[in-house]
Amino acid sequence: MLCEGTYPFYRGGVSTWTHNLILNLKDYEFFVLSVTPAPFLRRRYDLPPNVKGILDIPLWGTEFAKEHMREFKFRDFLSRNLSTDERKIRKEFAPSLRVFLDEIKHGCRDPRRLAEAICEMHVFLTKHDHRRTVRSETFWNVMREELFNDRLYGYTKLSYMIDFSRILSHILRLLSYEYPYADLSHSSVTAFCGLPGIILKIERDTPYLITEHGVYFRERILDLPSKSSIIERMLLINLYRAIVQVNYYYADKVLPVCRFNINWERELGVSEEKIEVIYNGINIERFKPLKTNAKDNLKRIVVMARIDKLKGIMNLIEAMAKVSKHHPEAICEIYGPISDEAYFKTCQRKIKSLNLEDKVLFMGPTDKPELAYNRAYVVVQPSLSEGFPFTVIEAMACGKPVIATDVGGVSEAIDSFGVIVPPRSSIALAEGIMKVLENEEYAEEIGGKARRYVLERFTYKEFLENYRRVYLEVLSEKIWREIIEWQRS
Amino acid sequence: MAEVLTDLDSLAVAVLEVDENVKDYLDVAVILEVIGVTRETAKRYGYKDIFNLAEAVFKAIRHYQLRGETAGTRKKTRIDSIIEALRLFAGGMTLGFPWVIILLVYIIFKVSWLPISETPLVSTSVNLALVASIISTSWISPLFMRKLFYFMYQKMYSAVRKILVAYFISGFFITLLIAILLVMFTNTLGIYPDWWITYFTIFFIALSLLWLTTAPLYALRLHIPLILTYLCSLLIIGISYTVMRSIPQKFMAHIYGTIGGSAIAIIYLTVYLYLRSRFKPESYGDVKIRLPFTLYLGMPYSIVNLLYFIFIFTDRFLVWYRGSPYLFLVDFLYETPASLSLLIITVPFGVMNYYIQRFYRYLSGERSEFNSFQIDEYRESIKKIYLKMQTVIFLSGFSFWVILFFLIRNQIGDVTIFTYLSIGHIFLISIISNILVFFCMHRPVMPLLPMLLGTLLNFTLGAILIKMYGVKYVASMSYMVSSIIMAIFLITMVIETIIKKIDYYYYSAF
Repeated sequence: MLCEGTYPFYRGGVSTWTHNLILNLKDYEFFVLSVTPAPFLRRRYDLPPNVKGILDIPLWGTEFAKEHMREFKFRDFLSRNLSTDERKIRKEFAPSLRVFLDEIKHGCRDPRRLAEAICEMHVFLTKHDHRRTVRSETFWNVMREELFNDRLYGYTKLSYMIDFSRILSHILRLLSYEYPYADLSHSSVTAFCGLPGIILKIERDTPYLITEHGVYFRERILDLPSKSSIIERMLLINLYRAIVQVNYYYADKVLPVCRFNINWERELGVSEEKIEVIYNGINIERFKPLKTNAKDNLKRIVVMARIDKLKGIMNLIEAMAKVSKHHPEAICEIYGPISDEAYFKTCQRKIKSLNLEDKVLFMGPTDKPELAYNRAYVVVQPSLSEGFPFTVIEAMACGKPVIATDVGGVSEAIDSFGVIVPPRSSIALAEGIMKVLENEEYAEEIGGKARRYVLERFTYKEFLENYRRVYLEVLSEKIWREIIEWQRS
Repeated sequence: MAEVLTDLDSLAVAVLEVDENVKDYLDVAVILEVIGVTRETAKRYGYKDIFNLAEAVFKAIRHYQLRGETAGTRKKTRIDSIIEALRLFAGGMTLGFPWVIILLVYIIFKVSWLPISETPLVSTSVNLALVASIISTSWISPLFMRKLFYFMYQKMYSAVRKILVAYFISGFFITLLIAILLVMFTNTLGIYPDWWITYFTIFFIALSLLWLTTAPLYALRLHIPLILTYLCSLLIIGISYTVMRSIPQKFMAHIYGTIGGSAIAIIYLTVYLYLRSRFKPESYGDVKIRLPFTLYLGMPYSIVNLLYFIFIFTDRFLVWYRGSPYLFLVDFLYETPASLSLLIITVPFGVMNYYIQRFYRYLSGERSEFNSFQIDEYRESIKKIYLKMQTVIFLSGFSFWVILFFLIRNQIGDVTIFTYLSIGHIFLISIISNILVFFCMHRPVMPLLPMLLGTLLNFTLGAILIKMYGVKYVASMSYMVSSIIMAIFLITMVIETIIKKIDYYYYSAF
């Protein structure tokens, strides 16, 4: 299982998906390869017994690749270090680096050429010292020749290019690790963590699958620093595009979690036959209508989201100002960690300016989301961007009416069993909330229908059966290929 | 929202409200989706899908985009620049500040940090302990500080704590070991009386502890607590002096003061780290410190630091060396101008700190707008700021030397020693600035050879001159000459290697 910035070190939708999949596919053994920004991160999940190992690859946070691994001995480091010199780098590493850069600056014209270069760099970096390689003059000269002296990219700011080179040198750390043997590699995102999957596919013909939650390429565009110049953005976009393209090219199957993602996948050149939607599934034994200890007459509007701009909390606050005028009994409880401190403070200021201190409450993260949903009269999801959010189907499974913004796969999750409003519109959101608050019968009706809809479509059973089937399909295809080759030989 | 937008212009305005810097149609497509434009909406506008619509909207956006405008960033005023320059200057001065504080407190309150004795033998025990403690601890802290910095930057405070604990434990045991070896050595010589060895050992351990505990404050540039440490130390000495009567008791007051200073530094570091880890909860689990990797990285820094301190104290060893009846004996005539000449470092240190920060900023491109193909121009601009730094260090050093000379000419004693050592110190600041450039590029091995040769030259030249002229004071001349040669050597090296390929060295510094 290939992860990046998620399982098992961070909580969130992708991590939940990964954990659920591993935990419930008990007949499969997993090895988790997790690309992280820093080493020694605290695990947020207890690893299920069928996880046979975990390889944490921090791109930053140590000065030497593998330094954080107890099994990586200092003498091994010294011998690698001593065996790495400018001559070797020039002869064995520079040609593939050149091809790699040529491909990424053009957003991947030839995925096979790019993948071969990645494999060659992997072979070199597993035998030599990564730090010495990327700090060498040869590395720098190749960067200069390929990027700095490029007719287009030469117009980027030098400081930007130096930073970009550093980022790239850190990303290449990923290639200095030996990857374990696997029958199948499955990436939870179309990102850099897919590179081991591609290498295993080329070197050992290991089938490779990608599950796409949010479209990685699309999300990276959202993340791009808007102040940078067009050429600087273009370089980053082309880097991401190259990585995404090479991932798609070598994937046996691309498995989006909702139909919404397919538009982007098609646009990025994935062939139709590779794509198959597998919706997320949830534990219906856990997420079901429960009796809670809330004995007051308040009507709780529950939001399950981290405090982040993308989650549209500000819109919700503005909507609450309107809702509370007509419904003083309504209070909003927001459950989730703070991922953007500045945004959190802005939200607090907004609450204060609208005199909503006792109407909008930040409850912090919870380990018992099922209880939080069940406390709710209505569950709201005000996001500006989503893949296929667990929070929506979990709330639906608890029999609660859901009001959500029309982003990503939300409308697929809700269908007609909830209220869908346009994003970034506090008026529409307030109207949606009031529509449910004012009509108890309607609330009960859509809550009940929503639960039945989830039980039909988004259960663990279906979710796991789909993945089992796909795993068997790609594995049997591999066996067929081997048999045919064996017969030929 | 999308439902109310009826034409492409309205959509373009809506997109610009989200991000006024969209650069291509894919950016637009993302934002259109975020604001709720669906495939159906796109079809209603007469486009095949959202990407086709995005292309059309992007064309409309180009009419609205205002180029070359920055929003929300306040331009730096001249006053801001002056305040910043003063702040950096003051920050740099604090690097040499302990000596200034000690001197000022002595002049104003008559509280001396080290015991003042009329007897050369007693002074020798204290001064030798001072120099020996500085040299013996100088190489310990750099072994750990590179990693300490690294983890501090990453906000891995538990790792910082572990590094500090490892540093303090090893520092303490190394100090004890060196103290035992020195005691054994002086006992073997059999020339110093027992009380001398006791004084020497006590001061050596106390001062070593102070250097060990204040080193992280220097490394983390915690200037205010650093000053506080010395002030508290002096305060304890001052109070003890009013209480204590006998000479041995007064002697011990200095030990209490020194140890008190160490305690303040440790308490500050503990509280500083505790508060940081307490209010900024870490996402890190059990951080493992790999000592071999830590020491491997710190080793070259450690050797540079050791050579630096040997270099600056070589003249003292040459002057104090007697052979018999005592191996070393302090020379008061040399000590007064030598101590006062140290004052010269404050102003050039401040200037150096200001320019080294400017140098870093130029390196990072914060102040330059060079494009990637303008590497030669970038190198030239860095060379200019570097040469400016060196020029201003020398100019400020020599100007301050003239001022200082007129201010304290009555206390100086031997003018020749003061002059030679002051000039040497000015060049020493240049040496330090060059070492910092090498350190900034994470190339600590590069200055090793010039530093080793400079130290050897200082010692050899000093020994030869003393033999030739039979006067101890010529050691100050050898210090000046070797400082000048080493500074020139390092400046040439920086210009010919680092600056010539500054882009490469800067890239690979991290």
